[in-house]
Amino acid sequence: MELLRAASLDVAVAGRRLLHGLNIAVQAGQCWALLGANGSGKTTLLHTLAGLRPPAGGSLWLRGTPLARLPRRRVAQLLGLLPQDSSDGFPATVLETALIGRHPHLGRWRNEDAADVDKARRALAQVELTALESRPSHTLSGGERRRLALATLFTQEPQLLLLDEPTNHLDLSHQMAALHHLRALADDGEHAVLMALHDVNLAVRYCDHVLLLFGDGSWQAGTAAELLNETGLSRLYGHPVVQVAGPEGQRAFLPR
Amino acid sequence: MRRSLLPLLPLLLLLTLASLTLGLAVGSVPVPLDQVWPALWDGTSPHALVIQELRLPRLLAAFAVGGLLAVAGALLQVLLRNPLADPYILGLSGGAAVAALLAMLAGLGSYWISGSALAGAFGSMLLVFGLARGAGSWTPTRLLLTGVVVAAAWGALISFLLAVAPEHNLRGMLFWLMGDLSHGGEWRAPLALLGLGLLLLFPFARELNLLARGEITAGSLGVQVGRLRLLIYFAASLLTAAAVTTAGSVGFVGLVVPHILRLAAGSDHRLLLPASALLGGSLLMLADTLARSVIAPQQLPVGVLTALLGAPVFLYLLRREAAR
Repeated sequence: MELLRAASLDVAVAGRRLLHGLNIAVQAGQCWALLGANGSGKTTLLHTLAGLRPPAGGSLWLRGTPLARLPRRRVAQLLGLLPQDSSDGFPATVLETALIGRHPHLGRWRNEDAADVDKARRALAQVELTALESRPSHTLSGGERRRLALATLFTQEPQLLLLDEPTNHLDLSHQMAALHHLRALADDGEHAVLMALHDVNLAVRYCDHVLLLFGDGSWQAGTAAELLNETGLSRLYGHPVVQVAGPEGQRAFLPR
Repeated sequence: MRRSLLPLLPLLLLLTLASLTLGLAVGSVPVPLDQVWPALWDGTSPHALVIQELRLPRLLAAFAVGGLLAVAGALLQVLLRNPLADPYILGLSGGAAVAALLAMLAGLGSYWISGSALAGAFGSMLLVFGLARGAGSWTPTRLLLTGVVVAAAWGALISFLLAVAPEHNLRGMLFWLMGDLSHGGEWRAPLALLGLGLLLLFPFARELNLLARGEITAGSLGVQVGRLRLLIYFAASLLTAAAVTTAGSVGFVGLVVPHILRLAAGSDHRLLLPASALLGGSLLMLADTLARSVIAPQQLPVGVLTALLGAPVFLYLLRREAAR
């Protein structure tokens, strides 16, 4: 099933066009990597796809309906965003922070019930934060905070997950665990993942599709097998990249 | 909502009733505590007149003003995402004060002074809104800076008015500026507005929790950020205008009460808004009771006492929090 479609989408920041005429369709079951150099517009594109800023041109469709015509709450039931960084505002516990993910599913006059708390606890268990449940969130380390943001997204239970550098601040094992879980979500055929990544090798390992942003308005979208190669990546990052083979024959890329 | 905190509201309700009882009992004619409540219902009680006609209206006005300021402060702290925000930070009280002082200089009566204060507050609200909105974008920082600068301009005008005012007007003007309930007889409108405001804001309390975490988080969880910000701005302005019109610029309640509660009970606005109303109201009733009794028969402006009471309590809580 098609979850998100961008048609001739333009994205601009302060009059500078970052992306011109983007056409992609994200289907349930897919896992997309969004790659590009610093300032190429990855975050701006994710915010645009999430409906948080209007596109400079073109249109966006969420499950066949124009995104701009859906109420914000409905959008948030279908589509979730992991921001690049999240701040606490005022003090709150870890469990309370995960629970805000239920917001789009609750009516104005309803409070979270036991089922919502269960969902938040399961998400916290997923990112191994169960033991810190009642800690104030501002006492967490950077990596723990990142995992809490992931847990909030999992508590939201969107069908389409947009993530802005989900592996930021995470140690190796938690990077693997987080990406493994995202891949498993996509593999169940109900969900789709689109995430900005800086590590090409994580994209090689976990993603089936990639969207490359070159920062001058041009872009390439397609399967990972097709687009992730030495020439393409060298052009993308403006630095020569070589392909090497891992011990089990996996592809990997290294800066030369 | 944290279950363990639910007893907070009943506790604050008890505090409110205790403050009310104390306020009714204390004064130039002391009323024994056990006769306070009977005198409220029983017109034949020897204390009926002083309690029903003098003390009760003044206490109810104090409660309403304290509640309005505390709720407005909690709202503005979310809107500006700044823990230092208080109801006056955007210049609303300055606009009200300039208008009220002008009315006093013109020798107008107390109804005119209140009316001018209300008009000044609304004028300032629209001025700051228009200036901050100007280019179309409306960020918390832009709003904060606009408000602070407008407030500074009002401050200069207030100083000017005080400098040129004739001697016999000065005392009244100073009392108004510090916040004073001795002339305020009107309690129905502010109390009704406080109740109505809480009722209308409650369904938005969860969205306030999200907005406090920033507009990206709030927006991606389904909050219409622009609309919510407008609602908060106008609601907080309206509540503040009502408080300032009733009692002048009583300081500190709007800053410190939401913070005491955030430190003690967390930041869930479903609990924080009603708790702020109760604690703000209680604090101001206690402060006003002290204001009219510590150096009786002379009266202090209540604003002096709110800061004297609030500052040490707040510092104590802050230290306790840091020690944890």
